Parts: sequence; C-alpha cells; structure tokens
Amino acid sequence: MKKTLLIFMMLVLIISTGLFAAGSSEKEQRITAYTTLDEELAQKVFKAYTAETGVQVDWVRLSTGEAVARIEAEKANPQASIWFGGVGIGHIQAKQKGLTMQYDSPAAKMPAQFRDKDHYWSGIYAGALCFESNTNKLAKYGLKAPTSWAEIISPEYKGQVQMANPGSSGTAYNALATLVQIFGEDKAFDMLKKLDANITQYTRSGSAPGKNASIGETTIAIGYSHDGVKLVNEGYPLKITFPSEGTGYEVASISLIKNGPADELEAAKKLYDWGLGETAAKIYATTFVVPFVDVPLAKGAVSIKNLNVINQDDAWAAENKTRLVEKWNQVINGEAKTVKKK
Amino acid sequence: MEGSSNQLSRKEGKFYQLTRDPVLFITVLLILGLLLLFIVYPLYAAAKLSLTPEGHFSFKEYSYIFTHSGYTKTILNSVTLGVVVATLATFVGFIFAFALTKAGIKGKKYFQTMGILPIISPPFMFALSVILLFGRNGLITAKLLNLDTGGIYGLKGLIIVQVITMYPIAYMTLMGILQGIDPDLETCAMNLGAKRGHSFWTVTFPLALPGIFASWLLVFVGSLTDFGNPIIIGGEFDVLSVKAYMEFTGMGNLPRGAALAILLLIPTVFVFFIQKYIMKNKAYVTITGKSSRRASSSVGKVTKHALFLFCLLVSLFVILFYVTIIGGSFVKLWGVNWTPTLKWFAYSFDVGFKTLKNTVYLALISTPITALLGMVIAYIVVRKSFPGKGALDFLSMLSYAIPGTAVGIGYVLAFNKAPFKLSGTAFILIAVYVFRNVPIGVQGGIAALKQISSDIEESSTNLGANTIYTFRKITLPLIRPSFFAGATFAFVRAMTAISAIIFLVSARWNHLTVLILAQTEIMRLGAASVLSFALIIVVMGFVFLIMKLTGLKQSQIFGTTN
Amino acid sequence: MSQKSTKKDYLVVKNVSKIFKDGRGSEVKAVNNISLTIKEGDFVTLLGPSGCGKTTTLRMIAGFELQNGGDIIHDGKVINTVPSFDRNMPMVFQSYALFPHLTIFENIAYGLKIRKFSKEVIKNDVAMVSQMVNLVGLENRYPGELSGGQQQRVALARALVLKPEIILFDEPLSNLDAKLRIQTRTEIKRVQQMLGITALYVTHDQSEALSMSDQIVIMNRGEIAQVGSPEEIYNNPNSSFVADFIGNANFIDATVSEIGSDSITVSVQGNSVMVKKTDETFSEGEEVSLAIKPEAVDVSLEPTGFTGKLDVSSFLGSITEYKIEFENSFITAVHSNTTGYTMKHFKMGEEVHINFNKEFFHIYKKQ
Repeated sequence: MKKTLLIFMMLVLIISTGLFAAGSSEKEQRITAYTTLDEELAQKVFKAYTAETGVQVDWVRLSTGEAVARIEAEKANPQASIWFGGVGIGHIQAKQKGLTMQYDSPAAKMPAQFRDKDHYWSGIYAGALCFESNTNKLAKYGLKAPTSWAEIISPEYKGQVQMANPGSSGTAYNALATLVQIFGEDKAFDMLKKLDANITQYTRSGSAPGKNASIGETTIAIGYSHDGVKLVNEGYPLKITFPSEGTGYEVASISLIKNGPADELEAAKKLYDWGLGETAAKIYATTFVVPFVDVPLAKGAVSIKNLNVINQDDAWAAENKTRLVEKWNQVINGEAKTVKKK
Repeated sequence: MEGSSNQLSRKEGKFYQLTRDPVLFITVLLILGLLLLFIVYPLYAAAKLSLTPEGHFSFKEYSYIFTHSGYTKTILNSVTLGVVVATLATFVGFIFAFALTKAGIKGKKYFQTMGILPIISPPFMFALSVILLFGRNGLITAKLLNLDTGGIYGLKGLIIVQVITMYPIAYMTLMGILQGIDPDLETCAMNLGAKRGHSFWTVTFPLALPGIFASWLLVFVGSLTDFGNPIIIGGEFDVLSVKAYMEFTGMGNLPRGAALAILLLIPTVFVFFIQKYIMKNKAYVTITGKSSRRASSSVGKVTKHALFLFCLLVSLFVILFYVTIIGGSFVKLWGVNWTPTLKWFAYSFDVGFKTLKNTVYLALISTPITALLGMVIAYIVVRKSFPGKGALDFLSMLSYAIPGTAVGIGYVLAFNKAPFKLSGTAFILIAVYVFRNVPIGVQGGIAALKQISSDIEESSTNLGANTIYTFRKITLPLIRPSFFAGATFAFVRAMTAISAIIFLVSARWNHLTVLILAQTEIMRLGAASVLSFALIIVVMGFVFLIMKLTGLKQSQIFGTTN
Repeated sequence: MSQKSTKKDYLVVKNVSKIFKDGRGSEVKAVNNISLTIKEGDFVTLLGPSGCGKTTTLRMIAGFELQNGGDIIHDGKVINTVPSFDRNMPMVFQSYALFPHLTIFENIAYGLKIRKFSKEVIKNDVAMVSQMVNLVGLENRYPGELSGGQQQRVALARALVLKPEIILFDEPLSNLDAKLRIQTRTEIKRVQQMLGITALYVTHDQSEALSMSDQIVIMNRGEIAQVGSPEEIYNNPNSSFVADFIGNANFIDATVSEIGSDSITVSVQGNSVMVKKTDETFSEGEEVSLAIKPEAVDVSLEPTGFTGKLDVSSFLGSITEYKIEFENSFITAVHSNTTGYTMKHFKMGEEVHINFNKEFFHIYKKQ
C-alpha cells in the first residue's frame, strides 16, 4: 500500500514534468501579450509571427475593458509587454492612465487620425459599427432590418436586440459614445433607455451579439461590420445594415505596455512593427476588416471611407468613459431618468 | 496570586512542550506563516483597497453600493437565488440520501454515483447544457417544441442549473447524517406503534434536522459564490459575484469591485461561523449502546417506489446534460446545422491543447501538496496542543468560506508587488489551488484522526519514534482513505475552478475553464462542448485512477465532506 | 417444578423458517423450521451462542422480519401479515434505542401519544412507571445525560407504560457491567412477575437464563436443541451440546460394557459405572461420551478407583477449582472449601484420586 502511494506520487511528478518539458523551453525568446483580437485571428497572427521570426508569443485574450483593467491592476509589475488589438478608445484610456509607453515605430505610416500624435498607440484597422440581423428571424417576426438608430430603439424590436455591456466591451462603449456624439448626451441617454427595453441581454464580449444573431439566438445585434461580414461569408443568414444618422467605428490599435518585462522590450517592439506591416495586414484582412496598410480586401469588407461615419473624437470618449458608463449603469437600472450634462 | 501563577505555568507548559519538539515548532510557524500570507493578506489587500478608493480612508464605495438600486437589486438577487436554490437542492439531496439509506431502493450503487456526479463536472457545464437544450436554439425548445424563447436565461435557468450542480453537496452531508442515525430508533418507533410516516416525522426528521440545516447553509453559500453559471445563463439577472468581476475587470473600478467582493464575504463567513461553532453542539449522538441490526425497511412500498422514481428522474436529467455536452462536441452548429463533424475537436486541439496541458500540470502539482498539507494540519490540530492552535484551525478552515471572487481580487492586489511578485506565474495559481482546497483535506483528516485512538501514536512515541516518524509510519497509513479523498477533491476542484482563477490567468498560464467560458460567451458552443468533454474525461480519469490504485471505494472517497 | 398448564397458549411459533442472503449472495438459513409455544404469563428465554437464530426469531415475532415459512400465532390469531406497529409487543433493545432528541418523559410517553391517550392519562402513567423502575426526578433530562443503567430502565419503562401483554427483550443487559447486570435482572424479573406480563427474552448468558426463566429454549444453528425449565435443562441436558453450553460439563471417554433394561454399564479407566438409559440406542463395545458437571467431581484423599494428574489448582475463595488430566483429556473438579481439607496443597503433576458423584453421569453418543 505504501509502495503504491510512492509509485503514484512518482508517476504524478514524472508525468507532469514530462508535460511541462514537452511544452516549453526557457532558452528561446518569448513575448507576453494581451490581445483583444478574436481568438481565431489571434491564433493565426501570432502563429505567423512565430513562424516568421521564431519568437514565441504567449498570449491571452481579454476584451478591451478587461485589458485596460488588467494592465492597471498589474501596473506595479506588468506581466505583459504589449497590448495587441482592442478598440482605440481603450488604448487612449490606457495612455491617459499612464499604462502605456511611447514608441515611434518606423512602420507607423497610417493617416494621422489613426495613430496617436504622441506615438503611444498605432491603429491597425478600422471597422464600423452596424446592425446585424438574422433574416430568418426577421421573416418569422415580420420585421425589417433596422436602418437607423431611431428605428432600432422603437418598440417593434422589443426583445429582439443584443448588445454588449459598455462597461466591459469596447464595441458597446463605442456605440454609446457614437450616440452621444450624434445626438447629444441627454437625447442619447434617452435613446439608450429605450434601447434597453429591446435588449434581451448585455453580453460580456463585444462580438457575442453578432454570433448570437448568426445562429438565431437573437434577431438583431449591434456590432462591428467586419464581424458581421465574416459571418455572412460563412453562410449565416445575416443582413448588415448601417444607421442612417451616422455610425461610429473602432480603430483597433497596438500599444506597448509601460514597464513590461525588460527582457521582452526589444522583441515587443519588433512585434509592434510587424503588426503594422503588410504580412500582418494580409492576415487581418482575412477577417474582413480594412487594414490601414493597402492590401487586397476580402470580398464584402466595407471600408469606412464608403460609409456615413461620424467625426469621431476618441480622446473625448476615452476621457469621459468612466463617467458615461457609470451614468449608463444608473439610467439602465432606473435610478436616473436623464442626468444633465455637466 | 495563586490563580495567575497557575496560568503562567500552564502557558509556559504549552510553550515548553513546543520547544521540546522542534519539528512541531517549526511546522507550526511555517504553516501559520503560509496561512497568514495566502489567506489573510489577500483579503486584507482587497479590504484595504475597497476602503481607500482614492488613497485615503473612506466608505465612499460602500455607501455608493448601498444607495444605488442597481447594486442593491444585485444583492437582493443573489440572496433570493441563494435561498431558493438552497431549499430546492437540500430537498433533492435529502430525497436521494433518504432513499439510499433508509428506503433501500434498488440500484443503490448507480444512484450513489448520480448523487455525486455533478460535483466532478466543469463548473458551468450544466449551464452550457441547458442552453444547448433550452436556449433559443435549444434542442428541446426550438427543435422539439418549436418555441422561440430566451426564457431559460435569467433566474429560472439559474435555479435549474444551480440546483442540479449543488444537490450533491446536500446529498453528501445528509448521507453522513442519516447513516449516523441508529436504525434501531426507527425500528423501535414502529415497535411502539408508530406508523411509518409518524416514525419519519417524529424520529428520523428531527434527528436529521441539524444536517438539513447544515446542507442548506452550504448550498446557500455555494449559490452566492457561484460565478460560472450566472455569467453564462444569468441573462439580465445580476448577481453579486459577477458584478464584482465586472466592476473589477470590465469597468476597471478596482475599489468598487473589491468592495463588492468583500460584501460577498460577509454571508459566507457568517455561515461558516454558524456551521463551525453552533452546529457542532446540536449534533445528536444517537448510538448509545451497541447497535447491531440492519435496518428493516422503514418505508412503505408506495413511498419506496415514489422515491425510486424521483431519484431516477433526477439521474436521467443529469445524464441528459452529460449526453448533450458530448453531442454538442460532434455537431457542426448546434441548433442550426446538425451535421456531425470533428471540426470542433480539431479547433479545440489547436486552441486549447496547451491550456489543457497547463491546467492538468498545475492541478497535478498542487494536489499532493494540498493533500499532505491538509493531513499535517489535521494531525497537529487533533493530536498536539500548542499556543495559536485555535487560530491555525480557524484559518485553515476559513479559506473554504471565502468566495472565489474575493480570493481572485485579493490575490491580484496582494501579489503584484515585491516582496511577493507572484502574478503571472504558475505559483500564484498553485497557491490559490492549495489554500482554497486545503480545508477539505483538513476536515477529512480531522474526522479520520478522531477515529484513531491516540494510544496508538502514544505507543509509537513511547517506543522512541519522533513526531515525523510516527506521522509517516503510523498515522498516515491509517488515514489513507481520508488522504486520498482529500487528494481527489483537491484535483477536481483545481481542475474545475473558475471564480478565483479568472482573475489570475495569464498569458503563460491559462486555465481550461476560462477558455470554455470564453468560447461559450461567443456562442462557439461546439468548442465549448469539446473542451468541457475533455475536462470531464480528465477529471473522471483521475478519480478512476485513484480508486483503482488505492483500492478505495467511491463511498470512502466521497463519503465525508463537510 | 413443572407447572401444570392451565395457562393458555399465548404465542405460538409454528414451523417458522428464515433465510438470509449473505454478502456474496449465497443463502444462509438463519432459522430452520422451528416451533415453540409460549404460555401466558411465562418468562421464556431464547438462549444460545451467537448466530444460533435467537434474535432473528425474536425479530420475526416482533414483525421486523418476515418469515420465509411457517406461522406466528398470537392469542389464537395468525399475525403473519400484521405490520410491526400494529402488533403491540414492545421491545427493549440491546442498544436501548432511546430517542436522543426527546426528554425521558417524552421517550416514555412516545407510545402513549401514538395511542392518543389524553395528557392527564399520559402524565399519570409515566409518573407511575417512573416510580416503578426508579427514574423519578429524571423526566426532563435527555438520554445522553443518563448513565447506562438509567438508560436501560428508561427503555424498560417505555415498554411497561403501554401495559402490554407481552414484552420482548433483545439482550438488554449486555452493555451493563457485571454487578449492575445482576441487580437489573432481578428487577426485571420482579416487575414481570408483579404485573403478570409474558416475557420473551433473548440472551447468550446462561446465568441470566437460569435465574430468570420459567422456560428456556436452547437454540443452536437455527434449530431448537432443547426446551424445558431451568432445572430440567441443567440436570438433564438432552445432548452433548446442551450439556456443554449449560453448566460447562466435563466429557470423559468410556466404553459400553453391558446394556441393561433401564441402565447401561460402561467402563471408565477400568471401573464399571452404571448410568441411566436415555433415548439414544447404544451397542456393546461402543465408544461413548460421559458428561458430568464439575460440581459433581471432587478430589479425594482416599483411593476411589479413579486417578488423574493434577494440572492447575485455582483458589477462588469459597471454592477451589482443580484442573485434572484424566484419560487423555482435562476435566474440572470443584471443591467446596468449607468441607474437609481446605489447606491441602496439591502440587502440579501430582497424582490425585478423583471422586465422581456417579448419579450425575449422563451418557451421549460420541461426536
């Protein structure tokens, strides 16, 4: 009996050491990254990078809000050296909180509005907000796909809409900020309250509503057009429409994290550069986004140049995020009808 | 003057005894140190942040929470859910335990497995299953009944899922209690003229009451601290554990998140106190003389069949959920495209193999540590006396009462800077596993040790063996079943952790449950099912292995918990 | 001292059998086709070694087990299908089975409450019974606070208060220390006699059986070995098993030399001994067993014709026990120290003369 115990313990140790040894070797260069790219895309991107450079990327996917929070929580001792992807507003917030560092990348050649003037963050692609509607469900309920913000908040779509939680999702906050920028704060919150009546669930992740719409878990989703187009291409019965009053867009970006692991800094810079380059852009394009580097677009990808996008002030949106999200929480929970803008 | 000198010499005596046995001395110091560092310090860090949101002391966050209906509603939700689930789960668990101990229904072995099966499943597997079955694209709701409803999200779905997940807790507690009731008592009641129902209500039920109450409390705490299920199937129904997470990670409002987590701590620790200090006195010693007999069936035929039916229904329900997950692994797109496929296996392998490996690796490392530490603590608490024993006992059990959310937040805050820079490492995950799960080992060890007469160990010491030797050669072998029970639980809980882990996973060390959660949230149900399936296989494989290697029966491993 | 039975047959067990399945699934016949009659008001003891079926028999009578064959007839009525709670045969359990969550009062009142007696009646009856068994003052305590002896009395009171016609006892004294056991068994007998209750008592302790019973039923391996009054059983065991079980008889090898009309002559160590004929048939020259109680064997200073070698002598105060090697086996002789040579010390290995009180020889077939 005691022997069995000993053997068992030995086995456990051996197996676990074996597993571990098989998986890693400490000698090679590694980069620790937080990414907000969709898991599948992140896998492709980092795999390609490793294949090209031999550098291993350890990454974990966090939504925009989660990434900012995580980096902030770790600020005394950051675990990652780079934040790859994620809505631009989040990167601006991170900059404002002093969490990221300056890096004037030689590869940052995109138009000025898509990168930080102080060289803290650089955009990799832009994608516009849209409405994604499941055509089967629309038919079933006798509805049309909404074509304006005014429409989507009307009672006929009650219980048919999904959006992410603006607190945790950059996508949803983008939508919130867009509404405020188009309609002014008071009216926007009024609309958000009306929209709330139509929403079944605020998801944690920004792309979940779109996926839900594609499989019929919900009828209409508010999300990014590139996600929607991707789903359409996969054969899902989705119809993409854009609000006529104007829509917002995300500038997915990359930032270097301040005081990240010292031995990773140089490698992280190289990854940053590569992320802004053509190879990377081609990979992004496979997910129907429109990278800022000129590469062939996937069929169906919609460039923001061809849409009615608003003149977005991301810096303002970043500065007011905490206040606006808090207000949103209050309004949705019925504590305040509308609160006058300061 | 007399009294104080006596007191002095008693204290001196305790210290004296301690210094005479240097091994014990060092062990106690070491363990106390570890417990303080890994249990108290993180809580302190979280509490401190919640009370100093802007650098100086203020109740601002707490007052905000209590004055805004969004938060108070959340608190109310959590409590309501807890009460309902605790009641229902205790009911189901009681029926199971009663049916298997007193009613002698057929298929005992099979039902015993059913009684504990949900415990070794991934934490939100049932939520996932429920969505697959009853969601808007659910097999039953959409395909069979042609309903288009998201009605399963929210309170209803949460209740179903939590009851199924947690009735084993009630079952295991009540099994122990019911088995401890001398069967002669019920026979005697009938002998004195009590019909079966009367015998149940006047003898069995009152004696089981402390156990029923204990189960209720345990499930209540379990529901309050549950994280995985509400996140998936909670819908608009906000609960405290998820809210704390959202505030902390989503909103980036660390102080408020910490405050919410601390609030969660209050009911759980309260329940812990009730359990530990008040319930103990209420337990009845029912076996007075020698009780020899097997129990005659104290249940009528009709009741027996009704009980059997109930247990069967619940079991079938549980099996249905498992089968659904397995089915979900092979379906192209659940609810939309039913073609069988292996693509999700390929995808999961691609995306999840490294994570699975790491999860198993860390769980395997932490398991023997947890089990051994649990035994050592149990040993010194039961057999030795030393100053600070009460504190050690208390601390080692306390960590079980702390909600995972609070642990996660606490660890993030506490171990991010020198001298304890642990975040991002494997070590922080191992620490969470060990110190969250050590109470089970401790409790099992204490129960097992109490069964062994201290004479045996005294005789070993008398023959010249020191503490370590006695522990190794005499005590450990005798408490073997308890050791392996502790190890099994440690592994299972490490593999199925979520609420603490979600704050602590890093780029290098991810956890399978977090991955499953992410896949579920983006409705990649095929991948989520495959990964859940993999998790189930690993856990069951481990349990099976332990049972085979040690020759212990299922009832010995899952017999006594809490 | 056999009572002429004008008493009616109160409880009759007729051809009852019970089969159990053991852990491995094979069948065990715990009780094999037994029949016995219990007269009203009698104290009847089922006595035997563990596993003999006595407790199973008791439990079948109580209705806790259903027999596989045979009938149980209570006061003329067959009660095979009557559930235990309707049989009205309260039992005193070996473990006492006191309800730990109820006070002593509530424990005793339990059966009365079920029978829906009024509060006053219950109060009076409980008080009366408490006094009878000496439990006054303890009514508000809980079983956990009482001593073993007190707990036992509560178990008894709980049965008595129902004024039953019959009480069943399942080894009720086995958890008490020796002195308390003797005290309590006297009490039980006294109460039983005083109230005229029929008692069915199970024990493995022969002194309990001998001192308390009107009838003893000796059981062995699921069957009845002998039924009779204590004296009958003690003085005339009908088999070597009974002889051995009650009274710890000595067994001596002998050979049959002559078979007479109502006696048999056997040869032991060259001596002729005449023993009373029994129901068994013997033939000349047959090897047989002679049983004799130790108190009928003594050591003699004078030659008697029988000799042996002293093995151990144990001084026990009022008696001295001698273990003697005799004819390839050991026998025990008991010597009362108030007669004759109290102080003579025999040495180990010394040859001694043995005095058999020949009237007390019983002859059995050799096993």
